[in-house]
Amino acid sequence: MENHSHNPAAIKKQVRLYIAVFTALMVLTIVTVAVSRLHLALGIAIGVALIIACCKASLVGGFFMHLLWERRSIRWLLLLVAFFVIALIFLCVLGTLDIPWAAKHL
Amino acid sequence: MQIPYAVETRPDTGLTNGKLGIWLFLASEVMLFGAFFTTYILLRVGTSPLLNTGAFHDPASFLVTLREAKEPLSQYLWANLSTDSQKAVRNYDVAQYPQRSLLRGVTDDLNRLLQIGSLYTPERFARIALSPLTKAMLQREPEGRDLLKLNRRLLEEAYAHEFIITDGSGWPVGAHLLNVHIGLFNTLVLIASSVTIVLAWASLALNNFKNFRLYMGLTLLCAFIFLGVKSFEYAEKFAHHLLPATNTYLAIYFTLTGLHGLHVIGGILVNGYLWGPGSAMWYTEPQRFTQRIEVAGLYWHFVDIVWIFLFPVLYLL
Repeated sequence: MENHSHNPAAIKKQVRLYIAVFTALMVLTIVTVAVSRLHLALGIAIGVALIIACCKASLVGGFFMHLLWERRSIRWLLLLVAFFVIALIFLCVLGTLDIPWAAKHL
Repeated sequence: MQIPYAVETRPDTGLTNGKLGIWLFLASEVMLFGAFFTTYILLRVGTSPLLNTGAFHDPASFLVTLREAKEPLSQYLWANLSTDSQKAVRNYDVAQYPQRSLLRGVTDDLNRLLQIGSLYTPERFARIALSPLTKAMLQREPEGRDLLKLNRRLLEEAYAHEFIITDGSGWPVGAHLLNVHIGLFNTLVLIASSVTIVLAWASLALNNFKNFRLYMGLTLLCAFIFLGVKSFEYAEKFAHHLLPATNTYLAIYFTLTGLHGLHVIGGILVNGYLWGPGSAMWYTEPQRFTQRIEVAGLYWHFVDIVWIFLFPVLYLL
């Protein structure tokens, strides 16, 4: 996309964006720690922490790693990897159904 | 040998070879860390509330408290230890760190006790402040596995200094075992290094080599600070006999942070080369050098993303 060109004006604009993303990442990090101090129920705490972590990862990936402006082939590659990782986790967690006390919570 | 498509994009992929290469590498890295995170989930779900030798923060103090038996709870526990365990605990030399076999004997005895009935009597817990959650569990008069969980909680709260505090199911609470402030500091340092390396790349794109050196230098500085803090944390754990072999939480903690640390070292080597001797390429092939910085940056951001997940998982949950 045009957004990610090498002309000086565009780069300078991007630098401002990087600083904004940096600030957002700092704030989200503080928020994660603050939420953990609330001592929410474990399930909710895990959910909130993972959502915040995913937001932070998307910010780093989207802006710092230029995924928002990257070729579609790279994004497809990452989607494929995401699918495999989720499948890996899902299948292994399914395996825990054999553990009676773990099954109770799934 | 001339590496093809280092600067101009390859017509069929639309990418430079360097960029395609790093993304394929990062894809395999995602699978690697994904497998370790899955391991973490399995270890955590499979935890047992039964005590094991890794349940202690300060086992020496616990053994001494048991044999001195100064308050009702310790007297009760002591009276219910097997004669072999009592003998072993009596002979235990405080100057030595307790042997694993000694701890195993004691925890085996305690586990039997934890499963037969509630540890709680008003007398035994008269001087112990119980948490609201534990009080609520007491009200329910649980049985079976829930009784075991309640008893473990009671033990942890009665001997808060001696036991590692767990989430009730036997999995240590990261915030009690690790220092959240140090972890938070390191997270901020690593995020800062992520923005400095992208600014290093932007400086080259703006033709400003001096700023590139500054920002890449800052990136390296942050990486060294991160590693320094991390080794301080490791040393502190080792000094307290909290080792990878102590329990499964520490095993996965050291595995995940150790693997991440190796990635940080790898990043320092590459970024250090590009900051120092490798930067000579700027004067001969500026575009190719800028590409290299972008590719090194992609790797470094990935290392940052891994930590973004590691920090809450190990320190906060």
